[in-house]
Amino acid sequence: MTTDTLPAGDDVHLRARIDRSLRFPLLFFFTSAAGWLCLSSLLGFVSALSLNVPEWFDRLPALHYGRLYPVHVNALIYGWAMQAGFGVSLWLMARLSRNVLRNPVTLVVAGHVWNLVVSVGLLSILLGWGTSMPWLDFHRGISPVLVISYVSIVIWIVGMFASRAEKSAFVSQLYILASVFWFPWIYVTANGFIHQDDGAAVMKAAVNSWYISNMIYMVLAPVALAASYYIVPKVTGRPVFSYALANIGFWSLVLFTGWTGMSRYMGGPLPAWLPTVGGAASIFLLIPALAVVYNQVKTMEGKLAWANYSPALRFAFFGSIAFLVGVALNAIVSTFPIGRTLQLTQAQGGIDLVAVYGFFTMTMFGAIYFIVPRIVGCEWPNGPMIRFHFWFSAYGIGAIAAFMIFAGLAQGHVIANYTEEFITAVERGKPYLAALAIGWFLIGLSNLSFVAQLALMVIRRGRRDDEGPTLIHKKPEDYFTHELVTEKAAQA
Amino acid sequence: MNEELPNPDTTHLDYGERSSVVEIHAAVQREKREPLSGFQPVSMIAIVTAGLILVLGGTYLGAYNGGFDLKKSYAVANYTAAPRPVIPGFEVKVDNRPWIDRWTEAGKEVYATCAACHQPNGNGLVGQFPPLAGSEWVVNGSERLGAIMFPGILGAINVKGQVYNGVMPAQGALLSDKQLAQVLTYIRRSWGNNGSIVTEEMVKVARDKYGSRVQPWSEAELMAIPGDAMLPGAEVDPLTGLAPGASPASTPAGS
Repeated sequence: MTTDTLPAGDDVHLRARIDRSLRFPLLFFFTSAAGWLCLSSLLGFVSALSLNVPEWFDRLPALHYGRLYPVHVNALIYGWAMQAGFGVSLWLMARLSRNVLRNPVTLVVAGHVWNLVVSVGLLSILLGWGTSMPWLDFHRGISPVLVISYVSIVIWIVGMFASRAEKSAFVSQLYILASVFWFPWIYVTANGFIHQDDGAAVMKAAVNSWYISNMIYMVLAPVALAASYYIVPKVTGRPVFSYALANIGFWSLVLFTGWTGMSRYMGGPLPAWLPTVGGAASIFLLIPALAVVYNQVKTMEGKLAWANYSPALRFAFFGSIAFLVGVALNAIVSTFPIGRTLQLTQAQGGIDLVAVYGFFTMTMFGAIYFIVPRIVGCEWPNGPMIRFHFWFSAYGIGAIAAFMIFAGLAQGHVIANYTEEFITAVERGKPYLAALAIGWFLIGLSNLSFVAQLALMVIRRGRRDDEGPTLIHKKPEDYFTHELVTEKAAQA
Repeated sequence: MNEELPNPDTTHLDYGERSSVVEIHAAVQREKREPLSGFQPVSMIAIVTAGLILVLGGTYLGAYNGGFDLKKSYAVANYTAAPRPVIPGFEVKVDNRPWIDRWTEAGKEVYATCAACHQPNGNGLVGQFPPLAGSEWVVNGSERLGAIMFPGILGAINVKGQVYNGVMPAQGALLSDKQLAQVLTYIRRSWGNNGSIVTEEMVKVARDKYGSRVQPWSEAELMAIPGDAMLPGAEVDPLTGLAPGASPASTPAGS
């Protein structure tokens, strides 16, 4: 590689220049994403209350569950997830392409437009103008602006790749490019199918479910995988275990994801093979998931305990495991024998959250913990707060996913039985869904600590001493000794 | 890569930034090099696992694909549809009467247009409007009847041995082929009349033939059409509304 031939000092300078050039856009995306994340956690809490005690919210249609829940989900996806993804993708692409971001005026403008679009979209749902198509709830007039601002943002990512100094592509770059090209395709296709006036209504629902699945596994997941493929070798200081396995993981994900999704309506008035193909593709997704996790575990082999100390590594490793769990649960629920009772219940939402929150969001946290100290020039203020953030998030998302799946199990047989009334199914799920309020409360608390730390970093009130990186636990005397001694020796 | 670093122009320095090269943040300095890919081969176990997953998914696809039939929404063997649920207040009424009854009933509704002159009982008004019940113009060949619908009639006409001198307005512009077919079938088969069924297809022939005519018919012109001439068109089964012997799986539109 090019960098190997350069003197070490130049490499450090290049990295510093790249980081500095990205500082403003990245902090913009990370802070706005974190803001939406806090809002979404709050709305998750309030919407769970709204489902359980609707009488509290009687007089305010905007706070009814039917509007709050979509606002919560869309804020999580378009407010937090996409923007955190922009920031992380930009940084990874710049670092891996050895490219400095020059005069990113349109990037920042498009970022503002994106935030505006998301705000207007969420407002349109609150006012009752939403489309009530899950994950595509924004008023239909908003979608063109959203696509345009997306393209004006990611064109910078593609541009940096196109003019890369490092000619060989690392697997993270492939993932980011796939994600960047996938989103406009599925967004335009889904909106086109759903909002044209003719066409079978059933197919619109099916296309909607295809969109959700592709958003999870081909727009969000690749960004998180790119980040963990970067973080794991970077923190452990090892090359990725197997290039061949990484390639298999990437191409099988690309190959199978486009077929997934329609299994969410199995047994519906669709041609029977559509949901079945979706189910089979969901099973096939186990191949990329296993390939990724195996590759990362082998990369970390012998250094697995580092996840106790490095925040980036711990969040990323948790994310990869959650990816495997999410894919496995999705494969199970997508097949007919089990899906026939679990479909259309809260369980599918819980399994989606395992992927969106347990996997994607946690990996993004790891990436942000890794990136921000580099771009602002100080260390995270407080290690125990990172620990708090990790555990509350992990327990929060674990509880939410588990209770949504239990609620699905309780509801499934009622929904599948045509002689039962729908409200019975809702009542069956309620005791479990009450726990969602607790889960989102835990997550909300953890995200407050994250935002507080991020705010301190943005105003440069981070730690500035010679203690090295902020770790989750104080390192034992003998742990990083080797690493730190060599580093200190190099610096001296 | 050999540009002068960092930018010596201190006016562009960001907050908290110092111009010395030495001051590059420790996080960037301590960093390990950008990740590389190792070249471990894919192990046999990984290949076998991937193969097992492919077999599992393929088996599922084979078992539940429903023959890739575009019109089949179930894929399990021995499928029986659940009975239609009975919801109080939402009973679905299924009309099981023969097609011809539903067809003439629709015709009766259209006949409201005609009943002002020809009367609901089809007897007309003596000396003013000719009767339809038992009228040779109505029950004989359907072509004359179809022809009358388009430009109408002006002048004297002899019906059941009595001369009526008036105006029959054109109906073709107001009623669709289907409505005309329904109302013609109705008048040909009501009040003791026993004419043949008129279908939408037959009315379409009449419209193609006479629809462009502007001048209303006179009796002499109508007499030029043979009295037993029928509008061409396939016969239908009065029970199903389909060609005789066709499968009654679906009822024709508008039945």
